Amino acid sequence: MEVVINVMNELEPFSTRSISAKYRVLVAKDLVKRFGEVVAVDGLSIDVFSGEVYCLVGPNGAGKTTTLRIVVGLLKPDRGSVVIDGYDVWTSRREALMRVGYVPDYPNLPSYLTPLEFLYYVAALRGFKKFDVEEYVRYYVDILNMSDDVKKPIRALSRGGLQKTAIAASLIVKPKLVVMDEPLTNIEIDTQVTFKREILRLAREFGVSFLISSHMLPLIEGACSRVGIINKGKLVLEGSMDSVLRVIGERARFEDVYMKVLGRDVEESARGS
Amino acid sequence: MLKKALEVARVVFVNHLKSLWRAYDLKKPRRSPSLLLLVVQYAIALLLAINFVLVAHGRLSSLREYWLGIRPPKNELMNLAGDVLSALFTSYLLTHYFKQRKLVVITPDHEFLLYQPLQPKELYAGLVIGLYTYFTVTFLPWLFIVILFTAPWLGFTIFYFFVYIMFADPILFIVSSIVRKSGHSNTALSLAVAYIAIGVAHSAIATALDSWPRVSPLLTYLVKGPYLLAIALCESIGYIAILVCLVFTISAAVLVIYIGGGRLDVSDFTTLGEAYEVRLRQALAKSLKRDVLVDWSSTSDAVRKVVLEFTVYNPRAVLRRYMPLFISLVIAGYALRCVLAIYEPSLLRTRIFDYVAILAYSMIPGVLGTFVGELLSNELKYLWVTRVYLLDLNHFVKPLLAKYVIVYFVILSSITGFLASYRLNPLIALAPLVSSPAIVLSVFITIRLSLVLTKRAKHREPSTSVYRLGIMPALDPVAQLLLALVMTSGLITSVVTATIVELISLGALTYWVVLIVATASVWISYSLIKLLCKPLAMFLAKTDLYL
Repeated sequence: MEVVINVMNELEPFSTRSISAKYRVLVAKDLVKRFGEVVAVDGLSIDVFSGEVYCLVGPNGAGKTTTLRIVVGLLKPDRGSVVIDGYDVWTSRREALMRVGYVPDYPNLPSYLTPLEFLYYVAALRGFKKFDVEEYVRYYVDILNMSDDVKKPIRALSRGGLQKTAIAASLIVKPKLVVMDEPLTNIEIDTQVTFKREILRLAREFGVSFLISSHMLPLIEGACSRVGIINKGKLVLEGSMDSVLRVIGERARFEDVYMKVLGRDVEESARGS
Repeated sequence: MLKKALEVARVVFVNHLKSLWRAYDLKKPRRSPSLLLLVVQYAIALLLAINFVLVAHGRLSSLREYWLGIRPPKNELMNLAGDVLSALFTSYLLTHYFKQRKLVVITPDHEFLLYQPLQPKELYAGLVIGLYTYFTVTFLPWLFIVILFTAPWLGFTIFYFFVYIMFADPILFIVSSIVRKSGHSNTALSLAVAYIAIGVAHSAIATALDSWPRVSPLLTYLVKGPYLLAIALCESIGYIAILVCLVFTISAAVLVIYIGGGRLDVSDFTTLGEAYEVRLRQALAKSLKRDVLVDWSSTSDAVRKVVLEFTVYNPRAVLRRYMPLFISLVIAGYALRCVLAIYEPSLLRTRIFDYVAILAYSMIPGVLGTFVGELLSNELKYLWVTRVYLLDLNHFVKPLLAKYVIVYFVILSSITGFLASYRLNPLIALAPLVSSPAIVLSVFITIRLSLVLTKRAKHREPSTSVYRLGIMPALDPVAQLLLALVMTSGLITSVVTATIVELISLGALTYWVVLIVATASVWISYSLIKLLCKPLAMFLAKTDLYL
């Protein structure tokens, strides 16, 4: 029998002091998704609080992408529910999704638009006028280092360029919850650092919540206030970063916890490093 | 010598067959509606075969006479139509191959094979043999239907023609590659154009001398040759001989491909998805000088601009592209009428050009197939953006439906425009308006089934194939069945339009009736679009999205 280690009760106060009241922005309960005989997500539940950066980690094929797609309503769960800011994604789609920004694992974008047009297009889809988002667009184009590419056609962008465009689009719509699937893949190091600072700023100053799937240790260790380890569609460990690290003792590293939880040899991992 | 090439062929062939096996799920027949789908596929094959036989039989019998030395009589308009089509096809072949830069490979094994220690000639010959063996095997059941309905000689003829076309394509590609690499591409193109010009001049002289439209054999034999050869062989030396002939032709073609393939290199290959992207890019660059999305009055305004106006299906671009075709066809219809009135007035009373119209109508399902490719490669690939960011999908569905209805309508109008001017009956030009509800339904079915296609495709191909090959899911075996369903909906529209044209021609529908029905149909279509928007928007919002 699999043991789910839950360290929620050890959750430490958030570092986002300026947000007075914490509440659950995302409540995903008992999600199940099957593809034929494969159970991609198996009774998974996640809560994400306001101003929180929640990282979902796990091996390839663990069900991370499927979970995120269910959260933003791209896949319908066979069982379970997703409630965003009090609205169910499937019964109150409009109210739920107007609070969400999303970055997929591979952002297919309309190749005939420019990144600038795409950002304005996304804003228009959400019902914003140009003057509502102009400043945001300028700001994110600048901090994500997109100025040189912003008027080129999207088809001429590198994979990193596509990723940055999708990230900028997810942030200009003034979301309460941003769902990101491997957002930093193929992005240069300086933009990674800026991105990390920006999501922490948004979480701290504006109470924006982030649900991020990532394999990148610097992002997980440096930005996440809470982490969930997923394996075979199930959440096997969840808690604040500190409490998760304490699972195997003092001065543990996240990679050791990860290896231990997944049943890999910690000693071997240490030797390898 | 051909060992590695045959190994490549085996990999390609077996992989394709395996995907067929997986798709039909023969191990678990109860869990899969494969039997029903198979029946549907064969029913459609049957319909298409009947259509083909109806169109082809008359033409072939006249060709047989031609081969046996009997000069086709003047009133053999079917033969003339066949010659014109053959000439057009020849002209296209001769000019097309000198423009093509890369060989399009339709296999997901493409990238894997490129990294193997193979020489290009081995890879190329292997791909050609493997893919075409697969195509031949899947083509055989269709062939049996033709044989069943007609005679073995027609079946063998079609098979011979199929083999000829299959191998003519890679051989022509090798020749054009060699010419291009030698830096004489423009010279070769000029020679091809000169050859066509000589053919046209020869046709003009023969027409003037004979006082009847004639097409020069220079322009027809490249296409007619294999038909004539196959018919002659069947009639003179029997079916065993034609089989021997086929084996000889295939062996010779493979050898030519293997030897000529040595002049190719890896950069000469590309995937269908990449080729499609390039084509789309060129089409956009050529036909669309669009505005920039800098401002919008409302969400629906922005969506309309991005979904409709900024694409190649922009109504203005469509009009610019199809208006010359429409005008040419109307003029051609009238010119044909004038020629017949001078030379053979009796033919004006016959229904000879209905066959040409049938051919044109039968292209409509193919057009829908192209829409599916377009939908899969563009609209649905970006659908996640719409799904997540657009709060009311009605804004998206309206321009999406309108876009494909416009193109469908323009194509049908071209056909009926030709018939209207040929028969001097302007009411026929209104037929697409009368059948517009069927057009709307066809487009609706196409969009819905394309979404189902994405789901099937995801589970049949590795995820990278979906992204990189773009249109590739449409070639997946299960996808082919769904594609066949889409095409059937197009066939229904074709039949509806053809029937309306027929009724108008027979005088069964008077001027006022046609006008009233056309007005009512347009209103019904508009209402249908409004009515179907909501269920389609709901379907788009609720269905699982994999791309």
